[in-house]
Amino acid sequence: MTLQRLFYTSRITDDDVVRGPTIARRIAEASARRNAECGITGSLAYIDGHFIQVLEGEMHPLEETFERICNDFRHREMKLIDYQTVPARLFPHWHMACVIDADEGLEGRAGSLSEIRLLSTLNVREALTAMLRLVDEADAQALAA
Amino acid sequence: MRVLTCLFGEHNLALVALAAILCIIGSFVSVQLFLRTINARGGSRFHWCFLASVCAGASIWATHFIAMLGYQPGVRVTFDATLTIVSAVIAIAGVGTGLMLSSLRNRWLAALCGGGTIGLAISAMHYVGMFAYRADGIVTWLPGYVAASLACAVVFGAVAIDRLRAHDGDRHPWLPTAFLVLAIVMLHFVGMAAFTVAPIAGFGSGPQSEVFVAMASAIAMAALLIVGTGLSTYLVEMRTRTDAQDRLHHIAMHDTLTGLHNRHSFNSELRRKSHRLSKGGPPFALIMIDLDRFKPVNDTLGHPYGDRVLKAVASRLRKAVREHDMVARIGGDEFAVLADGASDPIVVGHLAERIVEVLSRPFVIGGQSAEIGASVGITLTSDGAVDADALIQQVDVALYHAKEEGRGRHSFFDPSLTQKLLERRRLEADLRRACIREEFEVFFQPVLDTQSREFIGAEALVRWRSAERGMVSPAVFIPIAEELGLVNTIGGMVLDRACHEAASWPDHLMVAVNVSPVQMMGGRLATDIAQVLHRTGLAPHRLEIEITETALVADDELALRSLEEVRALGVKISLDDFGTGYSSLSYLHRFPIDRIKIDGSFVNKLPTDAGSASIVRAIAQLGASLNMQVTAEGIETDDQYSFVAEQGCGHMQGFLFNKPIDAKSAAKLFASGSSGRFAA
Repeated sequence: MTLQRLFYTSRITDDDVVRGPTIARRIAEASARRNAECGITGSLAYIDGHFIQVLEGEMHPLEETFERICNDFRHREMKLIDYQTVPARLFPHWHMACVIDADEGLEGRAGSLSEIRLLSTLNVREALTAMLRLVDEADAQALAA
Repeated sequence: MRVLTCLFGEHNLALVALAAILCIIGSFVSVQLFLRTINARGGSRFHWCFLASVCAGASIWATHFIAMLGYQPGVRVTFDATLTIVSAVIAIAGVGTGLMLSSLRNRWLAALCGGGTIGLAISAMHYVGMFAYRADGIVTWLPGYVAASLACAVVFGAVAIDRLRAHDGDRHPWLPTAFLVLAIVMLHFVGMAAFTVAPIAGFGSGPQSEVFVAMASAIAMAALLIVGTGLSTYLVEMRTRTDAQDRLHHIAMHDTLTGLHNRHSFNSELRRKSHRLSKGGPPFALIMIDLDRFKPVNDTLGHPYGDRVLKAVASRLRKAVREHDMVARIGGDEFAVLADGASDPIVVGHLAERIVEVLSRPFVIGGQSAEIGASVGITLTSDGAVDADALIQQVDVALYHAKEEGRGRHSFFDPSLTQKLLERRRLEADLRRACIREEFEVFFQPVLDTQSREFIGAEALVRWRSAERGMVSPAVFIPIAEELGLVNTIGGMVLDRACHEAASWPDHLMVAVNVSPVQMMGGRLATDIAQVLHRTGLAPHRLEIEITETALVADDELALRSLEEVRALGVKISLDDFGTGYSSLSYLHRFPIDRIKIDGSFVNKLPTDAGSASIVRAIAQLGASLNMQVTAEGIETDDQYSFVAEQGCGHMQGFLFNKPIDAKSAAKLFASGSSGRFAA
C-alpha cells in the first residue's frame, strides 16, 4: 500500500470568522478521532482565518476523508497545494496535530505562522517543514507547561 | 318471488352465508387469474388456465355444494358420491375450456363462447350435482326456472368475460367479479327455485343438520385452500413482475453512471411541474449546471477517470441541494436541479453558490487530482414563464451568460441577456471572419534588463483590428477563439510574424510569444515552432515561449513531453502570470522552465501592499535559488521599478518604459539601440 500526502489550504466563511479558533479546534478534535480509525495522520493550522491542513495515509481512506472535507461548507476557497505518494509520514504521532494562531504561547511565533501561509502558495516543502517545526515546538511547550 | 321464498324459507341461512362468502372470495381470486390467463402468452397460458380453472371450478362447486347442504327441504337427504365428484370435474373442465375460448381474438366471440361456456359449465355442474342429491320425497322440476337459471348463467358469464377483456389498468376488475358472482348465485338460487321436494308420509326424519354443517365447513376449508393457493401464486408472480417493472422503470428514469435522474426523467418532471404551475401550482426554480474544464480531464486522464469524477460530482451535488430538490444528469457534463417551491432569488442564489463552490473544490481520486468547476444558469418561474420549453431556453441563456462572465459563477435569467447573447454570436461570426481576413496584428512590448536598462528583447502581443469594431482586446477575443478552436490559427500566425520580425532585430534581442494551453496540448507545438524557425531564419535561442500554469495543471505528462520537445529545439520556456493560479514549486522542479514572470497584479500594488511585496520578494528569491530568470511585468511607477530592482528581478517590462508598439516602431527602436526611457 502506498502512502499518500495531501496538502491544502482554505478560508473560513465570513460568518464563522469570529468563532474561527473554536471551530478550528473542534474540527481538529473531530478529525483526530475519525483519523485514528482509518490510519490517517496530519496537522491542521488555523492562521488569520485560513486553514492549512496536511493529511497523510493510505490512498483510499485519505481520499474519502478529503472528499468529506470538500463537502463541508464551513470553509471556502479550497486550494489543493500538493497531492503525491511519499515514502514516510511527516506526522507519524499525530492523528491531527493542531496549531491555532490564537493559542497561548504562540504569540511569539505569529511570524512563523503567517510564513507557513505564504510559503504554502510558493514552496510546498518549505511550508511542510515549517509546519512540522511549529507542531514540535507547540508540543514541547505543552509538555513543559 | 319464488326464488326469495326458496332462499329464506327453505335454507339454513348460516350455510348460505358461508356459501356466499366462499363465492365472493373465490370469484375475486378467480377473476384475477382469468385476467392473467387471458393476457398470458405461449405455454404459460396453459399453466395459468389450469390454476384459474381449478380455483374457479373448486369455488363454484363448493359454493353450490355448501348451499345445497344448507337447503332444508324437510326430508332426509343423501348424496350420490360419483355424480358429486363428476359435477366438480365438470366445473373445473368447463371453466378451463371457457377460459381458453375467452382468449379468442374477436372480443364478442370470446365473450360469447368463453363466457357462455363458463355459464354452461356452472349450470352443468349444478344440475349434475342436483342429480347426485337424493331426497326422500317427491321431486318436481319447474322448467321455466330451469331455463331462466341457464339464461342467467350464460348471460352473466358472457358479460363477465366481456368486461374482463375490456379491463385495463391496475385496479382490481370489480365489475367482472360482480358478474361472475351473479352468474354463480343466480344460477344456483333460480335453479333451486325450479326444484321442489314434497315429503312422503312415513319417511321424513328431517335434515341431519350437524353433519351437514361439519361437512360444509370441511368443503369450505378445502375450497378456500385451493383458492388461497391460487391467490398466493398470483401474488408471488405479481410481486416478481412488479419488481422487474420497478427495476426497468428505475433504469429508464436514471442515469446508470451517477444514479441521478436522467434527461428523460428530468424533462417529464419539468413538464409536470410547469403544467401544475399553469394550474396555479407552486413556483419552482430551474437550475442548469455545466462543468468547466471537464473535457481536459476526460482527454488527459481518460474516460474511466472522467466517469469517477462525474460520480463524485453527482454525490457533491446531492449533498449541496436541499433534500427534496431533483438532481438530474442531462448530458455528458451537464446537470440540472429542479428546486421546488423556490421563488426567492436570494434563497436560490444561495443554493447556486453552494453548487458552484462545492464543484470548484479539487477532486482527489485514485492518487491523482482533477480541478474542474461549474457554471450555473438559473431561471425562476415567478418571472412569468410557465412553459417548459421557454424555461429551458431561458436557463440556457442564463448559463451561457455565466460562462461568458468567466465561468465558475451563477447567473439568473434576465431578458436583457438574450440581447447580449445575440451580440456574442455576432462577435463569434466576426472573429471567424477575422481569421480568414487575417485582421490580426502583432505588437511588441520591450523587455529591459533591470540593472543596465538595456533592451533584451520584447514580448509579442496580438491585436485584433476589426473592420467593424476597431481594436478588440485579446482579453475579449482569445477566450472566444479558444472556445471556437481558432486559437491555433491565431497563435500560429502570431508566432510566425513575431519570429519574422525578431529575425530582423539585432542578434542579442529575443522575442517572447504566448502559447495557449490548446496549442501546447495539440501535440504539434514543437513541429510548428521548428518550421517557423526554419522559415524565418530566427536562431532558436532567441525565441521564448510563454505558457501559463493552467496548461500544466490539466495534464502534466503531456505538457512535460510537449515542453521537452520545444526545449530540445533550443527554444526557451517562460512561465507567465506566476503567483496568480495554482503556483507550486513542484512545477518549477518538474518542468523545464527558464524564466518566471511575476504577474502584473502583484507589481501594481507595490510597494505599499505588504502581501504583494512579500510575494514578489519570495518569487525573486525562488528564481535566484533555482537559477531561473525573473521578469516583473506591469511596472508603471518609479517606486515599483526601484522595488523590483532591489529584490533582484533580472528583467522587467511595463508602461513606465514602453507601451506595446507596432512592428515597424519596434524595429526602429531596436535598431537605434537606445535604451528604455523613463516616463517623461
